[in-house]
Amino acid sequence: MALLGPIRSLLLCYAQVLFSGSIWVGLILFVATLLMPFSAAMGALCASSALLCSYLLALEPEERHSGGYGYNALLCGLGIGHSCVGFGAVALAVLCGGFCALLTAALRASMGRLHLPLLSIPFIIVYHMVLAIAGPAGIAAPPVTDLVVPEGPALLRGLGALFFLPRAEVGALVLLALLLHSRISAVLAVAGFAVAYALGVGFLGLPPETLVLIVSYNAAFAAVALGGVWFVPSASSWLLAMAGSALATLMCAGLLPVHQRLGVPLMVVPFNATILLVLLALRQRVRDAHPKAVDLMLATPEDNLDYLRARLLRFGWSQPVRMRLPLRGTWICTQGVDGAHTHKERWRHAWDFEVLGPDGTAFRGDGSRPDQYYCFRLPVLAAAAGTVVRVESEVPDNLVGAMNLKQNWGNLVLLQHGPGLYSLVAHLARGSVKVRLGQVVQAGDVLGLCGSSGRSPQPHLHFHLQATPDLGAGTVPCTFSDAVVIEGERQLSHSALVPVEKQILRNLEPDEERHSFLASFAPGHGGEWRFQIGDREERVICEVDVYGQPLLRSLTYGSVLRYVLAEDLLTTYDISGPRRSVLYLLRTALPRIPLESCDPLCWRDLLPGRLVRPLWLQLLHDFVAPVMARDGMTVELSARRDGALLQVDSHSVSASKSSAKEHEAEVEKEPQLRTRVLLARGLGLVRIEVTLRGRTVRAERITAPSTQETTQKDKS
Amino acid sequence: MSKLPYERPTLVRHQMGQMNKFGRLQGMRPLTHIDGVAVSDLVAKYGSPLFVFSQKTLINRYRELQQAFSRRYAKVRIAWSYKTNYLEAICRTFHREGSWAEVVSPFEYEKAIRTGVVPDHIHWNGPYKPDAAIERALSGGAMIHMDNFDELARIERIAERMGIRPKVALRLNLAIDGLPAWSRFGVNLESGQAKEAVARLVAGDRLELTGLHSHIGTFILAPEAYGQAAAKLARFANEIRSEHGIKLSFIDLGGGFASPNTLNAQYLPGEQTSPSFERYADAICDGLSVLDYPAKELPTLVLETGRALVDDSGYLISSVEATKRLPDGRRGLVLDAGVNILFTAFWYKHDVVPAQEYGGLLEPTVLYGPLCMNIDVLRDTVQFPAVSPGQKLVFRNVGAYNVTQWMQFIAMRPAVVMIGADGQVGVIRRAEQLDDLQALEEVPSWLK
Repeated sequence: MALLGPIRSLLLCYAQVLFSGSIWVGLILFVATLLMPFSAAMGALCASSALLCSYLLALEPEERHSGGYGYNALLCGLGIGHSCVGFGAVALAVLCGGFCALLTAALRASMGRLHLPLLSIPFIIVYHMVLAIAGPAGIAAPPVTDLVVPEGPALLRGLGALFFLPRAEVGALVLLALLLHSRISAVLAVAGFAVAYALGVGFLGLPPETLVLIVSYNAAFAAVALGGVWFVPSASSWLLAMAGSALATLMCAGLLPVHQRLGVPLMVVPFNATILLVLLALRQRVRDAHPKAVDLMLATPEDNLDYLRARLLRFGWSQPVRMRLPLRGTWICTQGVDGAHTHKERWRHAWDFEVLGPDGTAFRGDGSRPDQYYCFRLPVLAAAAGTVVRVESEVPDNLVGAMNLKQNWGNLVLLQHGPGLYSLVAHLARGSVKVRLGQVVQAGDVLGLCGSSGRSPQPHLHFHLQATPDLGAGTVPCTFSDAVVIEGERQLSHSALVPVEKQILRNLEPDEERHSFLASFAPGHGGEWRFQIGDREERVICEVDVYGQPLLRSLTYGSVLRYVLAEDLLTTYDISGPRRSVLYLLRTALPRIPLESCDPLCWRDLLPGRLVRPLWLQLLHDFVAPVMARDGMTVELSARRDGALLQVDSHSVSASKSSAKEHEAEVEKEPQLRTRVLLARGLGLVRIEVTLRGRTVRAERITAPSTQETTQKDKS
Repeated sequence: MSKLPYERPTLVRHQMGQMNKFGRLQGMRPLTHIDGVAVSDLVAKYGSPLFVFSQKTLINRYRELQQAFSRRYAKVRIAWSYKTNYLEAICRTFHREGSWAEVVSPFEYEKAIRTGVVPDHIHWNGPYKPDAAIERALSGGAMIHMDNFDELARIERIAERMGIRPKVALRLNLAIDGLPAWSRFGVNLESGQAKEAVARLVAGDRLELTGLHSHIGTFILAPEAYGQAAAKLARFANEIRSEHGIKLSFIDLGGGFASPNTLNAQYLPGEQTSPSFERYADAICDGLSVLDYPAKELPTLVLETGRALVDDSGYLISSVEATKRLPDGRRGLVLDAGVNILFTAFWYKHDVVPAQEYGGLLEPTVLYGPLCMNIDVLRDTVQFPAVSPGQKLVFRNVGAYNVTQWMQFIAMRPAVVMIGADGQVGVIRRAEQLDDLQALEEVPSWLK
């Protein structure tokens, strides 16, 4: 068992060359190198030496475990195997491994400060040194005399050349590993190679063998890195990737004569230069989009894509702070973005709200006095926690129809929520402001009462976000989190809403009741759950990881589901591990539950496509995923109390339909996905049922305590 | 040209200008349709007298109340007061809108359960709660509002026996300027009894106090009274939070909002004097603003509004049996509905109008019921047009308390129908028949 760790780390060194973190990818690459046993041995030796060195020097263990300290040494070792012979080569491999580890540690720190990746710079330095030493030391491999140009497609030989093995069978294994790691990367590699080949042969007139031995992998891996690793895969990242391949090809062609004169091989220098150049240059952009840079390094380009899509399509973030509607109860939006009256030009991102009475008008009586308006003197709330940076409270309320253009915002409260994020509520009633300058307020605190001061011909509430504290500053976009839109008898909760005119809306108002059904999700209360799925039994525990994030872990299969139980919402996030686990059913059936007990409330969520797709289809889908506008299945959920049980139902809906009328139409045909979850009061999950394309899987919670287990626990 | 209807001649004393200090002499619009359904059709199908409920009005009222409060306070819950009207169709209408149930007896508790209310959505008030019923309510998770120290001790014993630690609420009575004190329910706040009760509850360490309740009276026309009550409860909540660390999950202000009816003692019509839900909401939410709780942990405001939610959705259709001239010159009408089914005639000057177009002048009229009892008067002197036997009258705003407090006395109780939100009509309680009454009776063997 003790050996397993180092072997894993070693395999991950191989995987790291392809930006992968999978031991299977590593294993395939290891097998690929075995075609040249001496090289393979030197590679493994050099990488092991680097790992051992990093262990002895007590360098970051996480980086060591993931192979980060070894992949440069691995390449170096393969290089030694390629160009050196004898026991000298062995000694050199051991020494160079240590050297690579040292260089990696030193360079990682300094380049990390510039937020730049290390790439294969240590390899370039150390291997150049090796080449210089080999001759004088007398361990250089004899020049190959019987030069036979190996057979096979140029692409495969090119991929093999990265491992100093320009042979088709090695390349095929590298491509296989790449496919296993990421279909997006594989496509990018092939496309990058095609660009290099077309450019190299058609325009630069490079000899085919140079193309195979040097240009191909530089171009292919530049495409992989730019198209999916440092930028989120998309049509624009692909374009960037192709441009990167072309750049790497040009650099190869340009640097080749220089290197030949110096007598050293070019190797991966163009790849490294291209990536660093592009990363540094694209960081100067004024907006981070098309292609979007990766904010959080995840395992594969597919994951990067999923993560960004979830952020945009599932949570729709636009500002870093969660904003709630600045009001209580049900209001109507009377002017939205690019409104007919005042929300134009620099001030287009703004909203006006009013209240409608039972008869659908905004006032009772003849509406000639402000106090006849339903919204007049209703509380206005802080949209998020913040500090009061500006207050005006002495502007008189207008008569209906009149406007005060001199003090056009009327009575107002300006809150600062963070650097460069301010929210304004305006036209408040005279003397109604309840906060002082400098006061710290929480989300939902009352700021004042709705009025009709300033440029306000009738009582209403104005809200917008701005980037500076100046009154009259241009407005910035805003989305409201967990706002409920009411359409007749249907109430649809939106995770991120940009209100439009005539929309009737309110905030989600959580209550204690839903919590009592989800108590078992509260960290520290969970304990262990047992489920019966068909004839299988699965045990799941509720844990908190070292970062304080709650998660469900299947003790039986090892799958992990992350979730957050906030005061107003239970949301499930990423899931990983074997798909047999009940956690996959849970993730599918419970993407989120708003903690408001209101039967007409329904909500939507986007299930990632990979959750509802068979594996083979997902693998095929990955090839085209970056150019698809969206991926996944929109589901609509609702919850209903049934005695001591809470029943949460969901069904898939065709995307983008949200109005009530269309809703009725689409229910008729059988949806692809139907789910039902039963939760019991104080007990939590009881049953999960998922019907996907007519096939139903059911998991039942086993609630009776198992005596056997408790006795086992007592013993331990 | 069609023939004009016959108008019976009426002799009235000459009046100058037909004005009085409150304005124009009141006219009267007949009510021929309820929610678009003809009164004559309803009577033809379901008989007379007939109670009619408008589901549309029930829903509108509920939403009006709910929205008036939820725009002013973050967490609002309405618990439908069963005693006001516990016909299942009425209760279901409110529960479907999200209301909980407020019950005051084991019978009402069981009725709520049978209607489909989950036990933890029931607030149980009132001075009478037998042990067996308490045990049943606690095991279901219902919220018991304790009325007195004896009850507190009993609930503790039952909880101990059941091995649970139930959540309970405490009913308080308090003094409000200008209102008669309702001191018979709950423990008194000003005398320190309430504080003592909380200390006793904490010392007992068997129950968890999660709510405070008060009900300051009935048909309260002054919203400020609620403002005072809310502020007093809020201050008491602050006090027990700082003293015992008790974090309340709700504050219940009971019911008592006025409906559009006119009390017998009132001079101006109720439609003008009864405050809107918004004015009650302003006063209550203002009073609650003294609560010293973080915004996210504010206790839920519970309302047990009954009358003001249901009164104006209820109509009583009645037929004229006979007309007569009284010795004092007034006209008397004998109707088929009396105080036996319109119990609230003892409280209100009920708004009553003819159910068909009429001509001619109004004259002082007394409306008598069918009972052979002197007290059976539905309206004493109302300006009313001439109507003939067989014609129909409609009493408005009769939704509260009548179909629960009516009695089977002399006559049997009539049918109750509901006009659904989409205009459909359904019986929600059929007319009583002799068999229904006989089914309860038994003749002892020696009389057979």
